[in-house]
Amino acid sequence: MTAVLRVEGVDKRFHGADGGTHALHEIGFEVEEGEFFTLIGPSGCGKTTLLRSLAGLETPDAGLISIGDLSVFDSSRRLNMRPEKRPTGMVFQSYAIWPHMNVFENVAFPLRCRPGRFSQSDRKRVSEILEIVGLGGYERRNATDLSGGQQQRLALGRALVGEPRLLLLDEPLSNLDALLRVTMRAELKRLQREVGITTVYVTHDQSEALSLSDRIAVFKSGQLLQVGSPEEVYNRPAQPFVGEFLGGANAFDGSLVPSPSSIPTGVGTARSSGGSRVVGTLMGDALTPGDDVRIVVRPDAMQLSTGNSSGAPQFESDTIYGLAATINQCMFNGSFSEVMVDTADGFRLNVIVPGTPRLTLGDSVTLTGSAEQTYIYRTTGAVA
Amino acid sequence: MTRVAPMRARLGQRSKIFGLPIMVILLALIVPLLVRIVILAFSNSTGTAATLDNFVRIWNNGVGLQILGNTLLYTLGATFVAILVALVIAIIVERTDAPGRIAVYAMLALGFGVPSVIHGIGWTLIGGRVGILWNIFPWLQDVGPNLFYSWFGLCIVTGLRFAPIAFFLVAPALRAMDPSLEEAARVAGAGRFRMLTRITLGLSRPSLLAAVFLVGLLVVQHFDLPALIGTQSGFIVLSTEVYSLVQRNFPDYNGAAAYSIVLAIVAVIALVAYFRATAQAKRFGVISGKGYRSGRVRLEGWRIPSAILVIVLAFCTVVPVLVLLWRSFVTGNDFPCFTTCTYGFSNFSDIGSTAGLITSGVNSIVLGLLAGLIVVLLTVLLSWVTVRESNRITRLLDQLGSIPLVLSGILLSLAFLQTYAKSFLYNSVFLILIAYVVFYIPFGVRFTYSAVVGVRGELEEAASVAGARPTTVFRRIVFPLVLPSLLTAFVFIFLASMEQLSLVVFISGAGNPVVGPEIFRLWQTSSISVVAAFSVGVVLAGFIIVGAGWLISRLVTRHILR
Repeated sequence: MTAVLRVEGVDKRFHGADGGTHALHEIGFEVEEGEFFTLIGPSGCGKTTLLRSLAGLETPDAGLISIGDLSVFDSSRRLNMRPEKRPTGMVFQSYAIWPHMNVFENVAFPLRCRPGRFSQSDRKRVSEILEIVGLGGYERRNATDLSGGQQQRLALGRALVGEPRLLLLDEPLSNLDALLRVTMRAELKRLQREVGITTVYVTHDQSEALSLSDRIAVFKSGQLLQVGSPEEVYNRPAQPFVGEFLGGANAFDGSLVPSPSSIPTGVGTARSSGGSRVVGTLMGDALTPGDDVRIVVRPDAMQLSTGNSSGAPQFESDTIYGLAATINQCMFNGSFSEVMVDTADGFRLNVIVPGTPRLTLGDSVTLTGSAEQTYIYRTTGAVA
Repeated sequence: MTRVAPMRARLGQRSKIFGLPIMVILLALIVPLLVRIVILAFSNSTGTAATLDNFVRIWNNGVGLQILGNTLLYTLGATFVAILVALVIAIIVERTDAPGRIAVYAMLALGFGVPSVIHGIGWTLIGGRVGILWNIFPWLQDVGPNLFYSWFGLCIVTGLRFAPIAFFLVAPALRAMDPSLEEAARVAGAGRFRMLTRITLGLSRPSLLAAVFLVGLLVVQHFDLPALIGTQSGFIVLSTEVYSLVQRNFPDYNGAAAYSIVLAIVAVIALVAYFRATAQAKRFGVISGKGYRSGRVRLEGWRIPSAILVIVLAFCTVVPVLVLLWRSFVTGNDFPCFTTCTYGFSNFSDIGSTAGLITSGVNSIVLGLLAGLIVVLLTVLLSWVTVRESNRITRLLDQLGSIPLVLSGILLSLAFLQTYAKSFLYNSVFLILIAYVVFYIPFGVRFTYSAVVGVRGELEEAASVAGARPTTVFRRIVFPLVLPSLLTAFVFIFLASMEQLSLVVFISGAGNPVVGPEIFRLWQTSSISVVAAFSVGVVLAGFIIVGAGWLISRLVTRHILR
């Protein structure tokens, strides 16, 4: 496998009256041939700035970007290739369908921008692409008369028609309604696999990222926190934020305490700042008792049981812990319920409970968690 | 951390390809004029020494201060009349269910498109020494004409001339207003009248303020009506004083330049106020513009009286044109003549035999079309560069594009006369074309800037990523998308250039006649019959061309934009 996209030390600051923001902190990663690579993070994390830098629509302050064998940006050589010269195709958040051109002309545009006359084979290529994205027969249609999903396909066709080395997608599903979004997600995956094009995808939607990607890069405040497969970033978040962002995990502070010798390696015992005992997988090396830690646990990784107000120590073991809590709020959500509880030691946690639990506000309950699905991180100043 | 190489210190492609050449053109057009007028104002009559004497003279003789006072009084009065009339019409037409909307719009469009000098001549037939009014009301014969030629009459006439412009400035905001805001007032217990005054008017305050200052800016620089009406009774304002200083047997160019600089300073004040008002308008987020139409106020018993009121008001803005139309068919000099008139086409056939008239008509049309074309192309590129890129060049372009707004027509006319008097351009139609271009650049910028802002940046970025060079992005994406606005700007500039009198009053002559000065000169030599016929012909030609332009634009938008 060869890297189609190589990003090294890409750094950018936006200068503003308020001192500006550091939009990208020396970002580096590689994307392999045919890979579906997702940049995810909350809004303002720098993911779109990075994507636009790949396209040449934004100029980083420093770093190196190459696409295929082509170096498109290199601050040490003052090289900044213009967008029209880069071998990229891009789908914009608003699709950016040109309203004054029909479907055919929208897709034909990238070919018309090439030197030489628009040939019969170009014409064939446009029809072929329209067929692939499912818009065959729509050639003469007014582009603005298309539905949202069709505009989406059109934008995709326009991005693909020039056979770019790299396809850039900027939150392309965010403008669709919920049902269509799921359909288009599957469609996008199928197309990407069929065409086999290397893709960089920007989103803030974790389910899109997890279901579409070969690998995911999680961003926060201009920093790249973790790169890995969906399973890796979901099951072994490298930082508390990754867990909180992907899966909406609960997080609370505590400190590491000595564990009994019977505990498996890689598992540690912590005491929450409210005093409860928690066990979890130690994330990061050389965590020693006395360290301040942040404890992360997903809402779906805890069991909720009723009818025991004592704190349920009967389930506890070296790798299982229990927390006493009271129900604060319960929202029925169809196949599951979202329950908000206040733990006895003063934290508010979200728990997902399958089905329709019989819960009343103020009920005493017990939460049970396992070390396997609870993560313990050293508290760092830089990234909370 | 690695040393950061400064990648951003480069100019954008648009600034390089289009920004720099436009900047050079604008500097070459505007700077010599400014330099010339400033040198004139600050030097003695022989141009041998720098002096403040020209300003001191204005300050020291009572006339100067009185002219300044007159100008302010005139601006306040005429602006007040224009805004009041426009507002009453706009609220009733756009916010209520009163009938007659189309008739009102047609009359206002006519009033808007007819040159001021024609309005003025029409009004003198109505309210002048032997005006129609005093024929109908003979007992007012003594006071009427004097009142007409005074500050009062001048303000009414100017106000009615600018009312259509004010209307077209405030009406869109009223039309786009979300009716639920008004309905909320009704539910809260406000009556119809209270709702219209407190809510509807209150909400349109930013656009209303913008209209007040823009009309004020136009009035303070206005020349035609004060020249036709005010000077008759000795009511002199800054613009007419500049004119009379230049037209004297021994012209006082230095004094005229000083007066025109004072005028520019007054204009700057109005312009700053205008920019502040429009900045506020952008922040006023109440006008949703989603295009609901349902919620007009039901006037019930007041429908017909309201309709009569707006139709009468709108009629007042076009009545001088109708009187001229009537006059143009009356043969002989007996006017007004209600029963004794003889009608015929002889006035129209006299147009051909009056030297320069046909030429001036052709010149005006051709130069107007060319000016529209040049200004639109220049300003759409200027706007595109300034909207999309921000650097030293675009900031300078922004300023260059609005400078002519504070340079009144009369100032520019003087500047052109003095700058180019000895050049080959003098007495040629090209000089007039350049004058039109300089004068209408700010108007072109206003139209094209908002049009370019309306093109979402992603549409252009998509073209860049698709492989289009900046020139291709402009040609294939931006230009077709803003074309409808460009056509509107083109038509506006064409019509407005037909109206020009003050801008060309010193530089149009036998060698390069255009309609404004020709009508003005002809009227001064009191051949009112030919003036009336020629005015009718000018208005007709203007509307035929605008109509043709509208047809072409419909065809173009249908074929290019689909």
